[in-house]
Amino acid sequence: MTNKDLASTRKNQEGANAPPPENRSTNLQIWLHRHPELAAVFGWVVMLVVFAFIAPTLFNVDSLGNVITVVAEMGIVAIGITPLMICGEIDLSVGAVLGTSAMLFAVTIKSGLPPVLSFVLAVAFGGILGAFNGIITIRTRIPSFIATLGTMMIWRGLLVGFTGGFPVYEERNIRFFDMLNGLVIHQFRASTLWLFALAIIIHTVLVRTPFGTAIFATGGNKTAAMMLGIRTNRVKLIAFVFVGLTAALAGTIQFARFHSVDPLRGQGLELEVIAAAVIGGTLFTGGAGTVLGTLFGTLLVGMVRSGLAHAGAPAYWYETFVGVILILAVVLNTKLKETVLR
Amino acid sequence: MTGEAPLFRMENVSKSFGAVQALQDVTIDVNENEVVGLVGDNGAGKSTLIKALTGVYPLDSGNIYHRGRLLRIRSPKDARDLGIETLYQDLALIPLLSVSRNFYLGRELVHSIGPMKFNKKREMDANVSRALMDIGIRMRSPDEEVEILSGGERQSVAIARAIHFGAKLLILDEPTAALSIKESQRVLEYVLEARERGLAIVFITHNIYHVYSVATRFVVLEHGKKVFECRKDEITPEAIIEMVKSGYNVL
Amino acid sequence: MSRKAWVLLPALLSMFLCATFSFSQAKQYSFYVVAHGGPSDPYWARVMRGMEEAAAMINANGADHVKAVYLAPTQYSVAQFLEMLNSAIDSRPDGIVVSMPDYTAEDAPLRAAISKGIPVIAIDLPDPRAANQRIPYQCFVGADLYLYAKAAAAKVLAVRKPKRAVVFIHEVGNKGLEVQAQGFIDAMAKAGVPAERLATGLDPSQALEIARGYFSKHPETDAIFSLGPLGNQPAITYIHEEHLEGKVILGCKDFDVLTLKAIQDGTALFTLVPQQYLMGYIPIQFLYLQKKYGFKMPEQEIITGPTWVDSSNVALVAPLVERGYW
Repeated sequence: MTNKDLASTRKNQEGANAPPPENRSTNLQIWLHRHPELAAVFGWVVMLVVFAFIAPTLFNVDSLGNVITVVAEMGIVAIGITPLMICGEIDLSVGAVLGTSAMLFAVTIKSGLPPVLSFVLAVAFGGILGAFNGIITIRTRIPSFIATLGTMMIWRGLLVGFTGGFPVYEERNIRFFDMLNGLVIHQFRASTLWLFALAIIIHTVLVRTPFGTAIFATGGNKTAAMMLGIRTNRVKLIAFVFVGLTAALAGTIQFARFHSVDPLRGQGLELEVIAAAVIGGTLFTGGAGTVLGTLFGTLLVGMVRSGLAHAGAPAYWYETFVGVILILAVVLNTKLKETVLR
Repeated sequence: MTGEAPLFRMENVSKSFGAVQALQDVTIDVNENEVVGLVGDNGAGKSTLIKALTGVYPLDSGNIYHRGRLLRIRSPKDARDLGIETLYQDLALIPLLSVSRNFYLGRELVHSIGPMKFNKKREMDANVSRALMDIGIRMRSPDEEVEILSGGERQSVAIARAIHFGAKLLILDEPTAALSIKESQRVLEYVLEARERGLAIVFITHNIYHVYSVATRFVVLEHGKKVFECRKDEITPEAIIEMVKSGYNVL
Repeated sequence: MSRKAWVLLPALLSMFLCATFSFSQAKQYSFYVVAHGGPSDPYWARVMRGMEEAAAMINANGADHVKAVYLAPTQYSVAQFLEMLNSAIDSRPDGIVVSMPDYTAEDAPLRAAISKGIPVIAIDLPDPRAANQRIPYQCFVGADLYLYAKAAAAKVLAVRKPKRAVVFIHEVGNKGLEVQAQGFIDAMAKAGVPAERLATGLDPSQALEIARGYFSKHPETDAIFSLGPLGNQPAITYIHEEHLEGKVILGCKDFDVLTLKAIQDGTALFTLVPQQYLMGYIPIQFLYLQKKYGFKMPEQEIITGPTWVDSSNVALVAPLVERGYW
């Protein structure tokens, strides 16, 4: 092929219509590919339809309010962990951080500290624990799965040891608790407002700021990101701190509702929020994820237990159902991506 | 070629890894509006030469000049700041991000509200569409994820990005290796376009026919040494292939 | 997968679920039992059994239909427990049977339920506050865990005064277990015997190793109180492996086949049985009778236990253990 041949082909194309792009997917398929959260929405709608038949009492105002309460508390942590998963890491210690921060909150309030100050202390403490996770993962280069598995056991063990196994109660009605988790309308609580505020902020950061792009780049192709000047370690550290902050926030909000915290508080939460994020389209391997998807994933996971209870199913079906939904959601997402990438 | 100093020049550079002499006293020039085809069998030193130029490895001896001025390239960032961009197979773009965000990665246009920076999405999207259109790439929308693009389209986007941000020297490492014939042709067209806009290009490949169609000059490396150099009109592709295959002495 | 499969799949799933839950059947009475432990724990399995058989007995007469649903988290979690309780209340049942692992957290939802007219009976763990402060459930059906743990200590002391005692607690933080551990330790402390908790965990083989570690550090330990089959098992196994029968006094709680054998061959001195089957059985019957005939409930505690099973009465009880009643 000579230069002349190449040049003439190009000139021909400049005038006429360009040839169609290589990819033959329809516009709809591409749109679905770009919005993986739709699998979660679809799944949630299907679940609603099923529950409409077998658990009609789920759909009265009080029930929905209670479900949303659970979803809000779980969702705050799930949204908190989404950026971390997008940049390619994971945090298994969120439940332990939630419990430990909630205990700190409880203990400081009981000792007479002003509630607002206790709140700030507890949330900051969660951030510190998150930073600890981040520093261990980044410095030692062990996979975050292992590092946070370790810290999960450390914090939980310290919490149980420090409390001797006994819970802490705060029976007074404290005004500040209303700010965190007070009833707003019927059974809908302030925690829902916290969730929405957080969702809007994180969505904006992920989609509309350079830092958001840096998060996706770090998770999508860390080496390329580094070569393009992104400080991937800094990105990851910030994401770890953020998870700690949201876990602590959820812990204080939950304490405001229960007025109690026991040393096993938050146990098992990590698997639920990770399942919620993954069902919502966040890739376990990093590089993709949306706040909307995580929200719907949380709705799905959060509603299953209540729905099954309303349906009169014994509660040991819960784990089975979440597991089935998780697998179906991931399979659906993968299939969608595959058809587009033909 | 004008009388002034070459755009980039690596002079008498050497590099060894333990007992292996990867580069030995190699001198190579690159200028604007030209494509240098850097060829040689595996282990000839092509990749080491490029990594030294882009700041990945430090040189044992020898210097690098930009228009006669001595350079200190200590990291990939230094190289990029000087306008040297490399296009590796997998390392150019982030697959799950859109074309537009990939394009401006690390160099986003923002408006600031206090300490917070927000992307100027519309402006960036428009610029990206224009930059792609400018060198002849047709894309449905700059919001498409790079993952959907074919290999050739991805290479083209990376080339367009380099041009847009004013790269002076573009290094292509096996750009057509995994592509179909049609795709390869398209990429080569963009390489030509880049050349005509004044970029200097170093094109590393095993596919002599591909590089022959766009090159102005050839440099052949063998066992870390530069064994041959000539202009395109002084040689045929077959001769180059034979040289690489059987060693310089054949010629 | 073809498009048809994507339509078929949710349809099949829905049909499967509907069949499982037989939504088309008309329900007359719906009772929920919400507890902090579930079928994965042999202790609670007997509570469930009591509930199921009470309902079955009522349904057998053919005129009425009782649907009794048991809800509990698989692992101790106040948050999940509360979620299930709220769901149970929101489904507007005819009655709720609930344990009190965390009365502060349950206070608001249960008071709301009671004020809406849903009868509530407490089991296993009561609200410990004074009568005019506590949640106004109708009555409490269960055992006083703290008191009988103290009684267990007394039984051990009646044999001889141990040099050192240890409590195998298999789930630290579980309110019910903590209370029992405290009762035993307090009573031992009063008698001047050093006593402490040992967290053995939920996995029996790990628990055995933990026990081994404790005994090598405190070889003079000669009394063990274990708080349920998950704690009984490692205790019994350890005593057998180290041939400590007779040297270490073992007091157990609840039953499983291993514990039964231990009583029969003398490895365990006794086992405390709160007769938790009754905690599942009695409330269902009470709630049904109240709904049907309007009988008021006794406003006090119905103490189902404990009862002691030791070598003197184990023969009576043995076949029932194997059938899952004791």
